Amino acid sequence: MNSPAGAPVRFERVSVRYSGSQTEAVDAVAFDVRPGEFVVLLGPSGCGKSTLLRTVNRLVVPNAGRVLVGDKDTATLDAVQLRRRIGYVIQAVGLFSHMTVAQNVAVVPSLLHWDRARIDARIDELLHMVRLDPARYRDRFPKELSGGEQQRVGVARALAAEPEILLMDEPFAAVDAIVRHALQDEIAEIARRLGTTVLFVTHDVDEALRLAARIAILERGRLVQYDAPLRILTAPAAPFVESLLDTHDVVRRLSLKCARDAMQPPRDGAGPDVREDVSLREILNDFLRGAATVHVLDGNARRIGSLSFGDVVAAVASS
Amino acid sequence: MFAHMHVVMMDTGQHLALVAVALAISIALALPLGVLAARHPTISAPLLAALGVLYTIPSLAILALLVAYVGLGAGPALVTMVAYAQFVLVRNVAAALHGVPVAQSDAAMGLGMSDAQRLMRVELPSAFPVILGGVRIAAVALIAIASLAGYVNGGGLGTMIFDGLQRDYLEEILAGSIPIALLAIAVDTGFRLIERRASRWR
Repeated sequence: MNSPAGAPVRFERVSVRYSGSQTEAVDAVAFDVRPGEFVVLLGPSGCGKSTLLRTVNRLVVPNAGRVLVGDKDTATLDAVQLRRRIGYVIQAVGLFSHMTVAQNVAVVPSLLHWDRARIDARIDELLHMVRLDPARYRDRFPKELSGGEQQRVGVARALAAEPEILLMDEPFAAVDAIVRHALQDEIAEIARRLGTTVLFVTHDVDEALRLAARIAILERGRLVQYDAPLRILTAPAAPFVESLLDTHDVVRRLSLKCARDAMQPPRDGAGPDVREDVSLREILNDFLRGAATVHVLDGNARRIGSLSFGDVVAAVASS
Repeated sequence: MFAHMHVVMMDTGQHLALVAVALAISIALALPLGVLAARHPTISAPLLAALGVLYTIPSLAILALLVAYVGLGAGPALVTMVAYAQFVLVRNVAAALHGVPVAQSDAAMGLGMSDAQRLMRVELPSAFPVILGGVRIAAVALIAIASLAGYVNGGGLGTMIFDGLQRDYLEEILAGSIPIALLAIAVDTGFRLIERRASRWR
């Protein structure tokens, strides 16, 4: 895989208060995002997660604290220039309806004055990346696309100029569950391949568990917990986290399923072996001890499959 | 009437020229004013109120007032036409810009467009078909108002209408008014065709 092309992001006691409001929308939030890391901002609506996201590209300016992108305080950078280095995907997609798919994808490269040939090549490359056949889609207008196709174009447009950071604000909330799962898998794969740092806002717990390397949980503008999904499930920092993630229920669902139910085809890689009828809850302990992969054996000690933590989450998510 | 075909043609040409010049000036004024009104709600209300007052004054009255100060000719007629068109156009441009989906403006900002780029590349093109509809309505109205130019020695098809009225000469009145009606229908149809082409993506 490529070395990470993503930039680190650091929130230093960031506070935002909207004019006319008595309370802070974001209240002294501080955490670090590593280069190339996939971080999900999770919380109920009104918890400040979108506001926090929008401080990164300065669509929202903090009243206090600093946001650092690639070690530079964003307050010292030109907002327009900063935004061209940061991909931005929103729930409403916001494709420009008078432009074709190709013209939409080309927006940031043309703002950056790339030459025509490079832009054309990049459009095809990006459409392939989001699994839209350029020959069929290049010259279509947004109204001729389904919701899922529109958001694929939205993702392609955000990635066009090889941004160091990708901001996604509930990008898949408006598409149906099947398309949403496909898009989740694809964005995870794309982010991994490109090494882009991703900040992803959602109120969907399953989505957060599926995608995140780390989850930042926000409640009324405050950061309640910032940790890996596994740690959050097994060691919720507050009653709020427990109820938000319904951690008891997740653990219960884990104990109802066994390795066989969640396993994927056998993979290479070191890791402990488990019997196919062992519950996922027990397997969770292996991941807690640091295993990246767990191998599943049948009654004759033959390896019939492998499991990652993601597979375990996927098996209990939305089931 | 047919014996004076060349006169009718010449007056029609003048009439169209009056409308074209008035429309061009009107659009050049109304676009920035409409953008201003759309961006700044505090300016929007008083601006539209002022233009609304102008709009309700009968155009003949404005014209009479102008002639008293600047004399006869095409000038006062053009000013009257422009003043009348402002209310229609400014309100329409502002409404068209308000109609641009918020998500598109948000995406434009988030992708790194400056304010001017957002306006020129996203908001105005997106609002264009609606703006064009307003221009069509203004153009048709201006074709009618341009008749008043004939009353103040400003040329156009109104010349024959007012001359005919004075001489109680029905054929001359018709020679002026029928081409005006045809002109209005032709311009309306032409703009509708352009509108349809411009709205392919909607």
